[in-house]
Amino acid sequence: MLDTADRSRGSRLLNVATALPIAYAGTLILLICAYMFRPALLSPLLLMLIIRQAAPLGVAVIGQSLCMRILSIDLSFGGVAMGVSYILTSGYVPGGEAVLIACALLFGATVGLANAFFIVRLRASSVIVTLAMGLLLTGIVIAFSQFRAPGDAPALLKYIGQSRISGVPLAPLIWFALLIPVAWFLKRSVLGHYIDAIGANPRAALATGIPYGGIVVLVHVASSLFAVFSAFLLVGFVGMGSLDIGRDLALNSLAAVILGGVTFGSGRGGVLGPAVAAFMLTFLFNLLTSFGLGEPSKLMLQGAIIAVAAIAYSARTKT
Amino acid sequence: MTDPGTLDHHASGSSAGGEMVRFEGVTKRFGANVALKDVSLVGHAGSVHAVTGENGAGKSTLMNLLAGVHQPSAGTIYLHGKPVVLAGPRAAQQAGISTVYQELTLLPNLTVAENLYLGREPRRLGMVDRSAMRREARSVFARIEVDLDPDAHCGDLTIAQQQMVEIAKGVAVDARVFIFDEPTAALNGPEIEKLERLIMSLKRGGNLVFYISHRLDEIFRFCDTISVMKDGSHVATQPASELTRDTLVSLMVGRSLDRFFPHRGTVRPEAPLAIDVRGLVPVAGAPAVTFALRRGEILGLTGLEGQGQREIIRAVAGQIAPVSGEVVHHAKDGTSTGLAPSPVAVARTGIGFVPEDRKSEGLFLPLAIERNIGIGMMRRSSIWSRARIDRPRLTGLLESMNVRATGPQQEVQALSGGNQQKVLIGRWLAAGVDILLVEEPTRGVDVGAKSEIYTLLRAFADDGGAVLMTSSELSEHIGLCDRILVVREGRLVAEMPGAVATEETIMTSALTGAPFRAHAGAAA
Repeated sequence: MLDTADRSRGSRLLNVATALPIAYAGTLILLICAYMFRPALLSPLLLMLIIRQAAPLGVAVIGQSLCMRILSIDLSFGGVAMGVSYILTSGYVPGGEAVLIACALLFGATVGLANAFFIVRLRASSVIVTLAMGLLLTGIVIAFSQFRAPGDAPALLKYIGQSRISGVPLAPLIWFALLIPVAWFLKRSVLGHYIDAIGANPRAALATGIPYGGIVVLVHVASSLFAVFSAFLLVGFVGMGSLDIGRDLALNSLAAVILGGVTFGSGRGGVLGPAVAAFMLTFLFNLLTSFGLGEPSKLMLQGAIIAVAAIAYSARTKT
Repeated sequence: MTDPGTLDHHASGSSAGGEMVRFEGVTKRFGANVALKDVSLVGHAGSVHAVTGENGAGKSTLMNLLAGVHQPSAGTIYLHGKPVVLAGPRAAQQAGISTVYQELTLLPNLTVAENLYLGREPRRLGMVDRSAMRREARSVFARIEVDLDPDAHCGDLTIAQQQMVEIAKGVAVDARVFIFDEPTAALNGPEIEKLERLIMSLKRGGNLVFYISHRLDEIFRFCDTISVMKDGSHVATQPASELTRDTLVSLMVGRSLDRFFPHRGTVRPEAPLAIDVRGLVPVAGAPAVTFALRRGEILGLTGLEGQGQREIIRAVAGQIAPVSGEVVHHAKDGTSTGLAPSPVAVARTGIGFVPEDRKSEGLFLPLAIERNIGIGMMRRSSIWSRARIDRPRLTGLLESMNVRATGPQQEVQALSGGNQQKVLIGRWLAAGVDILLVEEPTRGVDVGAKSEIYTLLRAFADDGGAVLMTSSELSEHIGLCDRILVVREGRLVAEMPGAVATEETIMTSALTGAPFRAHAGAAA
């Protein structure tokens, strides 16, 4: 009796270990790597900076993981971030900081609504819809910036991006302040249960009477809003508008969500895994830079990560 | 392990020819599921051999082994006395085994002749020799006495004609063994007669025809030998002439029908209404239907496959938006509301829908039992509110439904078909609905669980609920329903009390549209 109980506990532990997101093991490996070759990266000061640097990606990842949990995807993050940056810094929008921020949020909600409209009403593929939306927004912002280049960021965002509270940067605190309630809410609420159900089987969710359309709208609006928050942090870091802001946001957030263990079609995946993955990716890019490997290797790595993670998870779901 | 001697005394039947196919000690496992247990069975040349049994009895699995779709986990298949390994459908075809599937596999954009010679086109100078193809197609059609244009596109053919092309495909490659899997499901009377002539000509040609069907009439009309499967085992093989309908059914079910089904309800005509369907046109071009479902009642919608039963129940369930008409829900407290055609509104009102394909439309397979059932408990909650799962109620329900699982945390995909079905029905019982709309309540469910599900549905109706169901198994309608509505071409052609309905009365109405003869005397 004892023997079998022991063994089942052992196999359960093994199950838990293999079910853990790749990001956990990956982060561990990267930290060991850094310890061996670039111990300077592990100094508290640099680690703190890397966490701060990971915050915008981490915030975007919350939105992306919501989308992927209902088997959707949001590739419009880049366009949203550029749009937000332009709204905040171009000076086109009259009014104070509060007005600017409200406008940016409204803009984000509108983009999310539009994405959801095409996906739910016209049954278009979320990949195509959001990719097109991202490109469209990017194009519009570039066209507009010919007339008026982006300028300075609002002081409030600069403050958030650059200041610290007793040594801890503010940005990651905001990241966690968004992350924890979302995770808690998804675990406890009816909405969270519905999202898991949709992720496990959208057809059954629809037939069972789960308000599928409404949830897709809600998730896409939320996702775009997280992209807006992410852009706030980015603009705050840089201190001014730029046409480069958020270019990698969509792909990196996608990679982080996959590495973080949110699996397509299983309804599984927490919020913590993707957050760790956001840190892991940022740490990885810093490590690569410290090795003197530039942008090209970063891009190749991004592609490889997404491919490997997708393969690993599809292999696991088959067994 | 196997004792082939146990077969020989009853396998010969009235068929004349020698042994053509022999299964010996064949077992097939799918993961932990044993679909076939040590099956030994012989098919003879010049025989039409029925393979019968309830859904999930293993007959399709057995035929899939012969068709090369699956490979046996243990045991051997002999063809003309020699052991064969049928590694895939292609290998089976080359070995002379031809299968006519329920879902047809012709390519709709190709012509009849092209489909006939797909993958082995006659060639001349490296090019497809179309005239040879047409010529050979005609000669094959002549052999089986079928009148078909080799140049017609398969997409334009009726299902019966497509079946003939499938059969011709087998004849063209000189197949000796033909497998028909529910071939008449979508055929009308004259087409069935044509199929019968074809099968008889295959029989006269010394071929072996395996015939899978639920329809007892056809089994006795076409077949000379009948094998009965049950729970993956071979129960018996006997000449058709030595069996009666009743003995066959009791062999299939493994017990007599009156113990298999729960007691019937006592629904009085003045029992309160549960659902009132008025002038409902489920899909464009369909006739309007009007009927009522009363409290305490199990009402069956039956008919031949594809006559519109599915559309009617789905329109009532809000799964498809009807063209016109009205569905009114009468709650237990006397209030009545018109139902909006949406699954959300229907679930909120207190109506549970159990779809026929529980895996693709019903269950969340990777999620725990608790989550699957919990979804139902939340049907009235706002999405922002806290998800409350009444755990004591859930545990009690799982226990009372006799769900065999390690616990409420077990993933639904690890359960057997019967237990999955109980979870799906349990979702709505836990949700406290008072009406169930059930498609195929026991599809792919083993016999023991079937009986439990019947009891469950009866208890639900006795408790003041009401059930509207469809089923492709007539015995289920007859055994379980208080009242049966027969659908033909979308129309309700007959209504009969379940207690006096027989397969004949249902089939007569389903085929001819004639009303139930005893109907005049029965209560509405």
